[in-house]
Amino acid sequence: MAASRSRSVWIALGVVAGAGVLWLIETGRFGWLPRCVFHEVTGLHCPGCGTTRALHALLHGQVGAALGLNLLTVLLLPLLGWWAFGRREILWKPWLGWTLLGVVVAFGVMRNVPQYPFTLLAP
Amino acid sequence: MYRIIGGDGKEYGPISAEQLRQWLAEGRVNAQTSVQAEGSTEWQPLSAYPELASIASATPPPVPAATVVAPAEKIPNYLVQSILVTLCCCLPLGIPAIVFAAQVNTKLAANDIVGALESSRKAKMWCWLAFGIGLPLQLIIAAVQIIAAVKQAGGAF
Repeated sequence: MAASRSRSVWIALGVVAGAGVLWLIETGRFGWLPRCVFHEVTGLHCPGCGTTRALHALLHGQVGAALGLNLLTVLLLPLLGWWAFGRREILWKPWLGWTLLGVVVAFGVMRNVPQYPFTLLAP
Repeated sequence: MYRIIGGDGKEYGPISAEQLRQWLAEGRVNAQTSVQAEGSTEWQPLSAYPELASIASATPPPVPAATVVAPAEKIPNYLVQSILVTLCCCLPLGIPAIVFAAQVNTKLAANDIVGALESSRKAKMWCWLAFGIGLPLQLIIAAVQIIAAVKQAGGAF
């Protein structure tokens, strides 16, 4: 239990530090922010594209903008919280793993479809 | 997790090994009860499952063998880590990591501890692969972009 608690503390510190950096940096103004390698090479949007900008928007209270930049990241945030502080048993449910796999792959495919409803998913 | 066919002919479950042991102790199921491990399609008598049968044959019921349930929480499935590397390192390498992470859960549910450990090892490997290849690539691209930005700024002055 002590190990579990110290892990929670480390995760919390990491989240606060990460959030601090993200909040301070005006994403987009500095071109050198970590760019998605996959996007640079292929021109396609991977399931994680827009995560930095989405978190930045979220930290500035722009929930709508965050959802538009990366719906998946925003929706998965509660899972991260659950992992850090909650009852972790749910992470060992067989359906959860396969569902997440399906959602990530489907999201990655759909956001690259250049048709109206799908373009909403692109960052 | 297991499914069982009760004395009334109806199917019950999925239930955990813990719960099944409890029912065994209460006499709701016995060594002849049809049991199906989750992930399997085969119905077998409870006595065919070594992890459950040892309790069924022994009277009085011994202290539950902790080995059946305990490892579930101890075998890391790297599910969160694999999702994180997929989203943050932006590499298709994260996808196999998620597949193996999901496998850990399915195998654990079927009480396949050895298989779960193997999947856990693979999930860990793919996580590190995605991280180890993704991070240096991101740093290289960042360096290239900084150099380009500095050059541009230098030219402007």
